[in-house]
Amino acid sequence: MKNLFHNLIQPAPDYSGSCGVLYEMGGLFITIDASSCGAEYLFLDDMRWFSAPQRYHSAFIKENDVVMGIDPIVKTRMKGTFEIEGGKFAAIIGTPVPTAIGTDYVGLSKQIEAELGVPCIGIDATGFELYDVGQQKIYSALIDTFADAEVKSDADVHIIGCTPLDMWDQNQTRDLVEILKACGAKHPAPWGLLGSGIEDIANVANSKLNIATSASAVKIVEQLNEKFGTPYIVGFPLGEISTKEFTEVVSAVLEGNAETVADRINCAFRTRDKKEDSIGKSALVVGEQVMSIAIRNLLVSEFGFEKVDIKTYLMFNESVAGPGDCHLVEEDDLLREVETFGPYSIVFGDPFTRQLLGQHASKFFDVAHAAISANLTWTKSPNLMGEKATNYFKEQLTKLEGAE
Amino acid sequence: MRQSKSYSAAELIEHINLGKNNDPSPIDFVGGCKNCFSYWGSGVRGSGGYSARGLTIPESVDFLVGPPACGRHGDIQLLSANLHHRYYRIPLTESDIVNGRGPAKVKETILEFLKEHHDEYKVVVIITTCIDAVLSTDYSGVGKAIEEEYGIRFVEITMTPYTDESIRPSTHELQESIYKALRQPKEAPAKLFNVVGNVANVRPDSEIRSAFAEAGWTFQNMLECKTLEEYDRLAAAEFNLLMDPRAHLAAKFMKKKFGTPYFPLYETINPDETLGFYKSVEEATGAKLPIERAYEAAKEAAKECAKTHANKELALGTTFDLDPLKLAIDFINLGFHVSHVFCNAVAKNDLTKLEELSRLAPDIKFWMGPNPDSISFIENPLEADLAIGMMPLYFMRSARTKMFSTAQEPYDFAGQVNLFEKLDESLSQEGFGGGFPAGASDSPYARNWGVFEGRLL
Repeated sequence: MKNLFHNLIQPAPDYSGSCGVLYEMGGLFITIDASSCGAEYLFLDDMRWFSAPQRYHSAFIKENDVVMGIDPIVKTRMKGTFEIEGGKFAAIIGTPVPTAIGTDYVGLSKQIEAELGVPCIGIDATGFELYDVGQQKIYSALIDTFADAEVKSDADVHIIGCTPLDMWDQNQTRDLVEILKACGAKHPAPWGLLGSGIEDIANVANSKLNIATSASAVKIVEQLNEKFGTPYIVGFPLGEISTKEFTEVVSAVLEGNAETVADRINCAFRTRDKKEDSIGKSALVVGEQVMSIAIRNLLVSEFGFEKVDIKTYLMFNESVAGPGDCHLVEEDDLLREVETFGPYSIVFGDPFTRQLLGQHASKFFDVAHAAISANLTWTKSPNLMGEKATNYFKEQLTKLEGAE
Repeated sequence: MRQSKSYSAAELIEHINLGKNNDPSPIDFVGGCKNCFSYWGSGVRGSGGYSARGLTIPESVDFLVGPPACGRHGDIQLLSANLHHRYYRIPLTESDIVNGRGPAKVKETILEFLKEHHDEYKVVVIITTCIDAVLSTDYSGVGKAIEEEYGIRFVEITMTPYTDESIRPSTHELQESIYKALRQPKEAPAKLFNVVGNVANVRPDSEIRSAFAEAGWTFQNMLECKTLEEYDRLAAAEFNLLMDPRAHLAAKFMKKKFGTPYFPLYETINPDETLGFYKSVEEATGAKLPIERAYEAAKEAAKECAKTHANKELALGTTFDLDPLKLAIDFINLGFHVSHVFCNAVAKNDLTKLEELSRLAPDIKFWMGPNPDSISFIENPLEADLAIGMMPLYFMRSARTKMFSTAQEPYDFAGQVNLFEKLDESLSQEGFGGGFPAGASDSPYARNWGVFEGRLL
């Protein structure tokens, strides 16, 4: 039914997406909220807070503050807190209530910047959009604020879009960094993780290759390509064939032979090798678009799938979509799509999307996604970066076949 | 990074007294300081708890109405516990807010839903959020339409943490709202009484059930009502036991609407205080409650536990819905050793408690959290034998510290016996190992959800 949700968990909101990008960048950042939005970010949407708190605060605005005006309170407290905690920069991130009263986040951030003497970013997150929109906004703002073509650092490959909400932990990120180093990258910089922060972002104009690892970064790498001419790849390697082909493409770009792989860059990364006996098997992947593309590559190149469609309630970029892919809005949309374009031999998705599919979920492969099922599945999700995904998928698919 | 600082009770008393005439006061901690942000949220879990409370109205269906972000807590909590069969979400868009279309959209959606489901439900509950409170959205028209069309009752619960400091905080209004669907039953048995305000149900072995039953009274709790008929019988009770001060609006509402008097039976770890509550009820109702054995059992459990663990250090925060200062006084009076107390803030009405603590245990360290300085606890964790409450647990990451939590609230002697048994169990266990595991392991598929070492503050 239109406008009504019953089985689909509401994905993480835009302010959680923005905060998740900033978490390890060494800045002082706040959400302008009453407390519940901040609690949602900390308790549900960022598992790092439990092991290592950073300079994040909820502004704790109350009824009186809204009536009397929140700007003076935010400015004063930002200054007081900055004197205690410091930080390389500051950021203020919106939520529903300040949005409803028309807070000018950019104007307020400029005033705070003048007070603190460090750059301050204002993000008009609203609570009406999803986490990927918040990520996209903060990536744009970070580039606008810090990118400086004069800055020279050795960060030569920029990885944009890796945050815990999209299941990028330290191990998975490190594995991708190692793959890139093996391709000849000197200093792959995964924004917001493994110590990569505003120093690396400052150097983005000099990047040799940008990699978008989630849907929120697709527009960003496209814009960087337009602005600085930097080649990009949307995707990452899952499985043996994918890793081999990804390595070939990245190596060619870093060796200055981008023209030899011209048809494989500045687009979604797609594997070419196909398993020969790929007749009749079809799969549906419900989830984050770039992760889903990586799964599609693996299924097609190594497991004999002929058709793999991607459907998502999250950000959907037409520029990297395949012919059977689509964006979903209403809860019933998924079932309708499956009934129209299915049946599928198997469905991949977050465990909590299974209940949307009814009888069509008889063979369901769990791909946990923190932006959906939050802390319920953090510990149950494997790091599959690189070649090891082949073995994992082989084991799991065999189990599912056996259970049939 | 400035290091965190603790205060003695005497320093806090001085702060409160000086604060009357000096602003800002000489101790610039967050509780009284207007110039800093708190370290982290109050632990407000958002819509999860509100939606779950809404579902306690039997034969009801819940609709959470608000920006998508506000629905996430409820979804996670209710779907993961498989409690969502009567829970739905109607997301509002920015356009709904700007164009004032919220009530029309909600009415349309619920009426459409009820076309197929009106036989299944007798009450519609909508849970609204901060944004509707800011805009003063009026959803009464939705209720009117539902009652007219289907004869279904309507309740609005406001989930608005931004009104937490107003005279009607939403946590208090919530308790009132869930009784607002009550109608006086045509007939009901005599000598009924209710418990009001408890989140967890009363224990089966509680003297609240047995002692009142022996005195001829029939126990009623909203949490046990399976039908709307049983729920309405709550309106026929002869008195209410109020188990949480935050439910006073609910008790006042029932007094005004149905003439039901109420008596406090608040959570406390002190059996003597509970005995005092029961005595007041006996005086007011004329009932003679056979509670001596239960009282003795609670006293004995407290005494034994305190004796066994007399040298263990306790760190207290806000827990059992109790004020940490009051909790500290009670623990000390029962013979326990309290070393650290975490408060959100102290104010003028805390003076008496602080003076008592200054006399009873002048060495207690008071940490004014959530405080920006508290972040430095991560580098230099505090130590105690047992952390009770979320804040001490979070900041005391030493290997020695043990965790304590219980879903049961100690508002009766049976609950107190259970509490001291659980405390004894926790104090006898090993510590929890010095922190929350980040998840690293040797498996090739292992995750590490920690922060990069170079980024630790």
